[in-house]
Amino acid sequence: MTTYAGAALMLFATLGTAIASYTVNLHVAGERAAVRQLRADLGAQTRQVLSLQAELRTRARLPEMQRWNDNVFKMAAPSATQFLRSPVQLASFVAPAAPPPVQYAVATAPADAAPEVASVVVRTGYAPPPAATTAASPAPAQLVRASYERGAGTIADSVAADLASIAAPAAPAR
Amino acid sequence: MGAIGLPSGSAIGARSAPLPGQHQAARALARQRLSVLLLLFVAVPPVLALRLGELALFDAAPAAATPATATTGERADIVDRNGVELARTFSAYAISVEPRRLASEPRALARRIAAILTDRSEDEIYAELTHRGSFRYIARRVLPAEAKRINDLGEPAIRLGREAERLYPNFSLGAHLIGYADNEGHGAYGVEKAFDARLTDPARRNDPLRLAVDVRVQQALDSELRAIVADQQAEGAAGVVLDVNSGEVVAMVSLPDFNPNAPGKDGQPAFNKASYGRYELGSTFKALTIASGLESGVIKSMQQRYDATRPMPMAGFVIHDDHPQNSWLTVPEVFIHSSNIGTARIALEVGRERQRAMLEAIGFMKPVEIELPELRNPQLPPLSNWGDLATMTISYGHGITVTPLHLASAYATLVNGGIYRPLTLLRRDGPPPAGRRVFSEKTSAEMRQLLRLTVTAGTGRKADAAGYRVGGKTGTAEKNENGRYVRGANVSTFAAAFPMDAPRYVVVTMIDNPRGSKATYGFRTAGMVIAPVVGRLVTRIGPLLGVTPDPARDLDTASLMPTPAAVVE
Repeated sequence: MTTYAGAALMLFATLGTAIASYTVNLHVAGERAAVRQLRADLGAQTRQVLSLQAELRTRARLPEMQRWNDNVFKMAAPSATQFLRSPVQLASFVAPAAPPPVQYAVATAPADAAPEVASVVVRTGYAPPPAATTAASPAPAQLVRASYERGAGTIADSVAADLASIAAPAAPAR
Repeated sequence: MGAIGLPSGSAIGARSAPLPGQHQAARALARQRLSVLLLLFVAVPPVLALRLGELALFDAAPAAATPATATTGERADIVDRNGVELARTFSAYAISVEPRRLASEPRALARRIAAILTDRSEDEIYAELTHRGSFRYIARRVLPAEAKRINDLGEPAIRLGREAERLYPNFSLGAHLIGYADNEGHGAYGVEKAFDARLTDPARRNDPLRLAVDVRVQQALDSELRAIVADQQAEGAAGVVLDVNSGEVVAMVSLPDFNPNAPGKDGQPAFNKASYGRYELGSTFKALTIASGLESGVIKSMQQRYDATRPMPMAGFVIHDDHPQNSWLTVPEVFIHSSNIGTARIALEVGRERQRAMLEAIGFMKPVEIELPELRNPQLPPLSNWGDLATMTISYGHGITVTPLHLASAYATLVNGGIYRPLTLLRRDGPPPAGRRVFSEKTSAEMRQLLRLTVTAGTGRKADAAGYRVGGKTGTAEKNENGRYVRGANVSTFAAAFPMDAPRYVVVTMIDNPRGSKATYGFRTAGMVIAPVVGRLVTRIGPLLGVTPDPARDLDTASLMPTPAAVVE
């Protein structure tokens, strides 16, 4: 009896080992197939990238660019005067055309005048206001005064008032 | 096996009935064999185990062989100095047929294929389909979409294969320089031929070959020359841009050119005018003559005067000036008015031996030292025929033919401080090679002044690109074909360098047989035809090559001309 039990045990052990090994084997084979597939994919993708690159380079070849430039863009090489050689030369481009008038700092505004706030609304010419009303409305202040003081009304109030003053003359035009 | 005991019952068996001693021996033998077999059974599994272990541990990578995943082709790519591709290998579809296995009617099949492949005629395809061979190509380099449509025809005899093909993305741009590889993958022309071993070396296949060419400069030179060839209805043109200090060829153009993607289709053999064409390059040689005069001490002062009052008879031949001044000319005047008479007189003083030595030193006695396979020897008169007359005509570029590349190399030597360096097609990253001194620093400096003066006040004024300090020399010569002059045909050359205060690039351009046009007022001389091309070209390539124009800077040439010159074109 014991000899049979021993034999059966051996049989099961062998069978178990074989099945386990086979499973591992299958798993490994599966992984390898996946790796192989991945490599093949990579190869195919790389080939595709290369062929797309080749196509792009061929379409964007320099003689073609030249043809486009000759027929459409008509750009020319920069002339010698278009090169900057010093920062001073760069600065000379932004110099004002006429010298600014001499300005003196003199306090002429009355001390209790309400602070002027520049218009925050910029008109884009959607509807030019009638000439008469434009003439009547005061020209927008050129000067921006930035202040943290909240003396005569808050800035928000004055902005709102300003908005109203701009909107009012424009209203009849609509 | 018969020795192992048979039962001894039969009459026949009586003859071989085992004796007791024999029986013993047979048993011993059987046992021995059994033990050997057992040993084998024991020995084989470890061998198998070892092999399995080895496979598992060391050859673990799946055998998905590289062919399936390999992406590089048979040849390495070629790129320009900034890494822009000039030639690459890619796998394209090739459509072939096995005519013997053809199932469908060839005429109908040919018509259907011709409808897909528009660049091949029906008759051509029919000829391939009915060919007696066992394997014929119908088309190579077929687009994937076309290949798919042909596959959909379902003809079993037609095979679609992927083959490594060489692609030149810029088509004809730089065709003579880059060359092409044939269908078997061997370089047949240009760089492809010169570096064939390097390009097909399996170890360096993934490492692109980096040339010295800048494709943008190449394009600028190509388009400017193409425009002038069209305008002048010329037979062709050649141009070279060289780095004077390293000897790198930054651009090289030869027109007419070809499409390297389909070489030989237009029936014209490829002919590189820049490196293989030999021309009399005319007055551009005067710079070399004057340099040898300065170098040898024959010209002691720039104000030394030479008699150019009348044409000069010599050995039954009269030397004329194209822009006659009819007076005694100083050296700068000889140069900027391009006086043949004055140059001939200088050459006589220099003498034959020193002239030959100078030509030898700047490499005019042998093909240019460069990797290109298409090179040619200059043509010089034989020593027996090299008398005073030859010395004088050679001094102004007649009776000697060289390639434009020779001239470019000589001008590089002339302006870079007098050092000759072999040219190269490959990018040089390190310091330039030592080279060999041909002219002194002083001669080079004086020649730079003379060349600049020719452009500010002489025959090359149309090449004066504002701010780039271009210097150069014009040359117009009668065209010489196989030793015979072609009446009424000339070759106009302009050899230039810029910026002249510290030269960095030499530009040599040549136009073969210009006919004159409205733009040049019918003139065919170098000063009118090819000098403006150089002016435009330098404006285009200067910024690309890192030369900043500066109108405020120039080379001092005032010392050369005490009296202002009045030059008549």
